[in-house]
Amino acid sequence: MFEARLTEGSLLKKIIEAIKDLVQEANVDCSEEGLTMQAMDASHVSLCSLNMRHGGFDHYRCDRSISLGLNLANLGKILKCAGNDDVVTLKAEDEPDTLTLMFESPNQERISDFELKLMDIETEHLGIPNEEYKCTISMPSGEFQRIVRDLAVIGETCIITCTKEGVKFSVSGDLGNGNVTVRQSSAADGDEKDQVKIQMEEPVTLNFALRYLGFFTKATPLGSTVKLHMSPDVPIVVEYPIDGIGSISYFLAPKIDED
Amino acid sequence: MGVHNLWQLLLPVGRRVNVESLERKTLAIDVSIWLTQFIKAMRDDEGKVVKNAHIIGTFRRIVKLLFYRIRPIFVFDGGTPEIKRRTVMSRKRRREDQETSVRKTAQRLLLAQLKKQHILSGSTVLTGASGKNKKQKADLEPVGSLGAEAGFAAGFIPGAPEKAWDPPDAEVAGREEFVAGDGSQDARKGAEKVDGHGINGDGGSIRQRSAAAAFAQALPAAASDEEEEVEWEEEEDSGTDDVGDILLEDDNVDVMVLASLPPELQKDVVESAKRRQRMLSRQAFMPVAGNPALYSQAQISNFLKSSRLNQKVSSLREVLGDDGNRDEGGIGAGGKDQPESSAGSGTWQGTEEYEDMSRDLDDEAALRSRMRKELRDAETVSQEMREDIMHLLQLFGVPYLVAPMEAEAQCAVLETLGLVDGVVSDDSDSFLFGARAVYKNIFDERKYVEAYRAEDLERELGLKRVDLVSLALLLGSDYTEGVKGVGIVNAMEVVRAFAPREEGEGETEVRGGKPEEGLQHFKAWLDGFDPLGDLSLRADRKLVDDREEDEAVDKAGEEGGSTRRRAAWVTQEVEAFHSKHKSARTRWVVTERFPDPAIYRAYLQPQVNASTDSFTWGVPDLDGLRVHLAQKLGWPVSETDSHLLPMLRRMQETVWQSRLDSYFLGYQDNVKFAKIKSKRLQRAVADLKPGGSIALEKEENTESGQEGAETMEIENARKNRKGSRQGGNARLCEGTNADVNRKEAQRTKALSPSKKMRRVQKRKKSLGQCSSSSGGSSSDEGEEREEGSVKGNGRGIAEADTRVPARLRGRRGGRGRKVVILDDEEASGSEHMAEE
Repeated sequence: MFEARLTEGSLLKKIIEAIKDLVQEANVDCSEEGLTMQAMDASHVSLCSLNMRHGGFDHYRCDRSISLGLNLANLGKILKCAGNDDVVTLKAEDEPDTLTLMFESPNQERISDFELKLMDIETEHLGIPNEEYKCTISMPSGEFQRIVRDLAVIGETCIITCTKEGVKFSVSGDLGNGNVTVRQSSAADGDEKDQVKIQMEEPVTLNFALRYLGFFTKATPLGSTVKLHMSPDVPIVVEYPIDGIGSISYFLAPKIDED
Repeated sequence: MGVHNLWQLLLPVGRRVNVESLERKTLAIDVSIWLTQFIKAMRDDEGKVVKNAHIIGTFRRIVKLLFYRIRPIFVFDGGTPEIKRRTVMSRKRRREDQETSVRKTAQRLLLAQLKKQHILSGSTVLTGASGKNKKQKADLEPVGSLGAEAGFAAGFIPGAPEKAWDPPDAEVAGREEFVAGDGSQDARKGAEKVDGHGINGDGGSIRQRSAAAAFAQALPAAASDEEEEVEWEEEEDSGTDDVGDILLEDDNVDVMVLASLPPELQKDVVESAKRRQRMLSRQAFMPVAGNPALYSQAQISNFLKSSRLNQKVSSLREVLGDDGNRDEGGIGAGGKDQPESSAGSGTWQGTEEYEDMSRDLDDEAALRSRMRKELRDAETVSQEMREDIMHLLQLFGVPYLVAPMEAEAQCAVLETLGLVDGVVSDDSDSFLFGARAVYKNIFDERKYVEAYRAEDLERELGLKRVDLVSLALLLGSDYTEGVKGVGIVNAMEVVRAFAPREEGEGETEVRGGKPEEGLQHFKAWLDGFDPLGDLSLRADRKLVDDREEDEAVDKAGEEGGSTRRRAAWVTQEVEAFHSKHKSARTRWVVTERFPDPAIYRAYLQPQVNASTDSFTWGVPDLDGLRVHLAQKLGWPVSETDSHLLPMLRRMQETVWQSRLDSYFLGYQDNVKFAKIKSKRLQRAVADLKPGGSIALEKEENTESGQEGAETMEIENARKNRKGSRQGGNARLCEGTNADVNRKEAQRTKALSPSKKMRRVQKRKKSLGQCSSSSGGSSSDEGEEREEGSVKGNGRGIAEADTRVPARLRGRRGGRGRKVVILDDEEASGSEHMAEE
């Protein structure tokens, strides 16, 4: 028996919104510790990894580990039926064919439940090394979203250069080129959420497809901060911490310049 | 192509690899069977080769390779090794047979078509029907000139000279018109019948008509003078009709009397009798057409009459058949009439065949497809085609080389020399020549490529290169016919029993310099059939057992003291094999030279070009290609560009997108797509691979356990999976058992409980007795049927999982899996039958 209850139902909506454009189908693994999901996009360039700790739910029960093969677009459709203030409860049997979603309005006046058919999804399981990254950049998620959106207008590939001074996002395209540099905030500057912090062992420069970064910024509503982890010649990790419950991380393989 | 059925064995170690993960790899492309493939596969509706199919095919494939930024090196076949020539010869013989049968099928096709036209023309006349059938016939007869008829008719006789089949259309046309004219009378009658409910079906009238056609054709033979044909027609009308009346009216006419008449006259009599019968029946029908009761009465009486007549005719035919000599004599006496007469008799035969054909008239489509197939198999590859392809490669700037002998061998050597990262070949020979990474089906439309690694073969199947060659000797390949009666399961068991593992053996190192030794023992075993020998072998074994026990007790081994020493090669495995397959000894047929060391040599030391010169790739010559394709294929520039420009754009990109696979996904993490289904084969495999048997046993235990045990399995699998995800590389060490378990668990999970029970039962069944296919309980039937339906498609050892990645759970009908199974029931069903 699996049961998970989220008072803030809109969180689930946001999470699915943040994933469904990148990944169409995914296995969500439910265990005592919580929910995890790992899925690559069809072209195996990016990977989305979701982690929700059991403590983050209002009620969480999972007697036996199960795997829920979900069509995310369909799950999104069902979640559209939930109001933003609704309490959402997920339920599944031990060997489930369906996932039950229950939506309760805050004043308990309206209770709806839906069953989503599950699928058998066979996926490659990636062994992601738990690696220490050379650069970790923490910045406001809105700022990152804006940079990605702006640069995508100019070109397809974005060069991210991280130095001690700051992070430079460069793009070049048919119409010209452009750079956005974000500097490390000084400690005194206002709210911690709005600060840009850079932890760095060595400078890193990598190329990435803006299209995918654009997909990642769909997670912006989930949190005010985004963390970029980079090391030379390995995929970047774009991590959106979700307050109190876990995080959603995107891995993106770099583009490689032959010259 | 390659070793027979070897791919089926290799399937379970193959992995599904994304085409994109091959990006930037240098691959040796084995082109040796491409041309044959194109010629066979690229056909139009008629079954003819598409013009320059090989150019289109190669062009598409090169574009695909370059689009994925694979760096290909094309390898062509050079000469044919002496040892292969024999096999090639037998192939050629087969092809010649095919050519003959193409001709035969063509003949049958023509016949079928004629038949169709016959019916069609019959109905045409029917619409414009008029009473003057006879006149029409008379008009037509000169058209279908007798000589032509003779030639035509001769064509129906099996073994007739081919010449008869080249006749100008006129002859056929003549015949057709003739038939049409003749058929009209019947057709009219048929039409009347149809008007009045048409109880006498088409089949009957067809036969009547064709019989009539035969008679009519025989008529000219009766005429002494061809010039007087028309006159004679009239004469016949008045004369023979009377005789016909006799036949018809008088039930007591002796068939023998009739038979004693000259053949020409017989035919006339029968013909006119039939005609009279038809006329009578028409007369009988006319007045009663308005009254259903009377009408049906008339129908019945007419039917009885005509069937009586037919009986008579057929008995006449029998008499004639019995007394064929007389018939012949009659013909011979005719002198000038001879050709005509033979035409007549030819038609007799033709008519019979005709009737046969009417049975499978609907099979014309089937005939056509057979024709297509035969045409396809008869086609050959020309040198010119090879040169076309080489020219194309030059235009693309792709390097190629012509191997001294076999292309597969050259590809493998390129890999060994480190010049390429892998071999693209659909030929399982590649492994025998020493290839380590083979990519198959790379040109399919699917997104995934099948990848096979020699390491996997060794680790998971326990098959080294030498063993593969041994398998080739048993199964048959390009170089050898193989052992008759030995299939893949038995072959694996032979290899297991007679090629024992030796520790510390090098990869290509040949066991003791004598790779054939194992199979020599096999042959010795096979040849050593004598019941006494079997007994003595057993006695030996017992003796040795005793001795071993003794040794264990008093540690004083009496070395060689025994008078009867068993041969060194009679190991435990051999004896296990012996007891299992002793009846097969008489059934398996090996050739004189088996095991031919030359075959081992041919595979292990092939003649290749071992130059280490590196290859370079040029830039595709767009203009050159445009011109070339316009010339050869008539493609406009736009067509060429639509293929080439996307590819060129990809090639020109200096920045390329890497994929996560190359960072996080080891080769071992790629999903396998097939699984060994046969328990016997699993066991044979398990014994070959080091430490494998234990794992298998464990697996069997869980399988034969109860449902609880299975859920445990799921748990375990889950843990494995979790561990693997964190562990990254640690997963590689866990090996494939976890992998298999997980997949098994997932599959089990997808089944509903009741179905699962059945599965368990079924497993038990297949674990227990092999020959229990009859013991299927009714609850098993559903499943049986489900799988059985696919079994028919093709027998395999492995279960190929070609389903789409996702499917709805708990839906029985939704099993999009294609199962090619040869599980124990079937495997041993067939093999045991052979052995018992």
